[in-house]
Amino acid sequence: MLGALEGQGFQDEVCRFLRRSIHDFQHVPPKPQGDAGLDGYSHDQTVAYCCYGPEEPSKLTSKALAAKIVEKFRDDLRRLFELQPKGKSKLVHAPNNEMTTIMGTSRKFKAVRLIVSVLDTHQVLGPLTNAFDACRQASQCTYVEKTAGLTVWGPKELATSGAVDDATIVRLQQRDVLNRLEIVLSNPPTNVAPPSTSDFDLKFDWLDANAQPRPSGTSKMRAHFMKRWLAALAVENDFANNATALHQALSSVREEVIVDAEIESRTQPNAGELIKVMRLKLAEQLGQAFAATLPADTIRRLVDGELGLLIGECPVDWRS
Amino acid sequence: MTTPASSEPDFVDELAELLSSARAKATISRARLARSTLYDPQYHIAVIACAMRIHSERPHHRILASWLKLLQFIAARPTLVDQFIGYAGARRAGDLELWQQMPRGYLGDETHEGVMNLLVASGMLRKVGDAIEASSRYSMLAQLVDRIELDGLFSGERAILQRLRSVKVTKVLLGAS
Repeated sequence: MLGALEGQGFQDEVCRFLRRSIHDFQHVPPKPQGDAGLDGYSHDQTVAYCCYGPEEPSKLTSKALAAKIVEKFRDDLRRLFELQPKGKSKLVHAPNNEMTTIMGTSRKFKAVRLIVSVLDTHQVLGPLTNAFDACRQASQCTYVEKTAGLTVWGPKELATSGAVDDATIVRLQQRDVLNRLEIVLSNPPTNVAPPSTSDFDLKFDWLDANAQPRPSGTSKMRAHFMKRWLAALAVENDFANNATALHQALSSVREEVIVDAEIESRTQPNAGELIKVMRLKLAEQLGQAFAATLPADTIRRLVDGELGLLIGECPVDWRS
Repeated sequence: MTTPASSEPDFVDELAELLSSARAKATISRARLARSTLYDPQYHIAVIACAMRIHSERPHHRILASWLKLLQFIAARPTLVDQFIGYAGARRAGDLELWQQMPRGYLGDETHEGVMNLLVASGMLRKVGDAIEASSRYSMLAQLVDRIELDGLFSGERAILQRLRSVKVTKVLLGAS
């Protein structure tokens, strides 16, 4: 999954993964003048990370792909070591001004990790080691130790470097998951249906009969909450099938909100106010549970979906 | 966080206003919020027992642990069975385009792991390398399945487990190699 990403998408995902796996991983933002060839660092600024996700690697021959990877990382290494080529084989000092604002005083990297989205061939290892050795010899080594080591990681090495939980898998499948959630939240699938809608209808019938002034009709509101209810069921199904940890988180949030609402209802019996309180609690709890996984707008729609489900499945009632 | 999309009215606020105008009193019934069977250990024990009856190899009732995990995962989620069988068949035919149909969610199924630990600790099953097999108290699981079959319980789950007998299982298929 990680290997399927390219360019900036790969780099972003690697940084997210490392942030979750390594407590002091720091992503290097590209502003104001580029990232100096460095995508991140960790271990008290002793380990440097450079990432590369070649575009459309399947269209390249193995040899061409290896050459492209070597060329990209050779360039990153030269910038880290503050070098630029002069002539055919000579490397000369070329200050990398961005490094002065990235690195702490007298900090130096002891290891450099090059992370690539495709590492099917060992053809890249020799040339990169040679490039690294050449840099070490020619450089003043202001930011990298003379004795620093080099490792090249592919997606498998990266995945085994830290725990891969469901949330990480979801992130890696993010495009698929978000696309599916987007479809589900916008147009709930027709094969998902609640077991019964009679209580749901009766609650809105009661509202039609009792609200003052009498509403012109609650049909749009009914349709909205019904749609959201179906969407919530579809999301629940999707999580149950594809991401059990997210499903568990969703179930826990639902239970906690209902317990809170039950307690709240003893001091705040006004159903209108209670609905608002539940919405706030859902937003807060779902935000906490899914902030690392889902965008805010998707969470917002999940909130309405959960509210629709709680009305539809009857934990919340207002008919007295 | 609570602001609705600008293209549609805020139906939650509208509902709250109508409820307030009707002086509606809220009743909250926790009991109506049924916890999913996906977290019910007794349900999982029953499905695992059925899976052992239908899929384990005699005489030791041995089964690959990952396969048992996937079996109970699919048995509890009927919508997955067709796509998984499609994936398994297509994979054997060399078609890797259907890889997304593999229900990888089973890898993170912690409820199954918890239930397996319970069954191992209680002496009904035991772990042998990457496999699971009958242990000294396996007869309790066997009796449970006898009862389930006699009373016609879990018919949906058992039908799915029977269908999955057609799948030729390998560690590569399970993502467990």
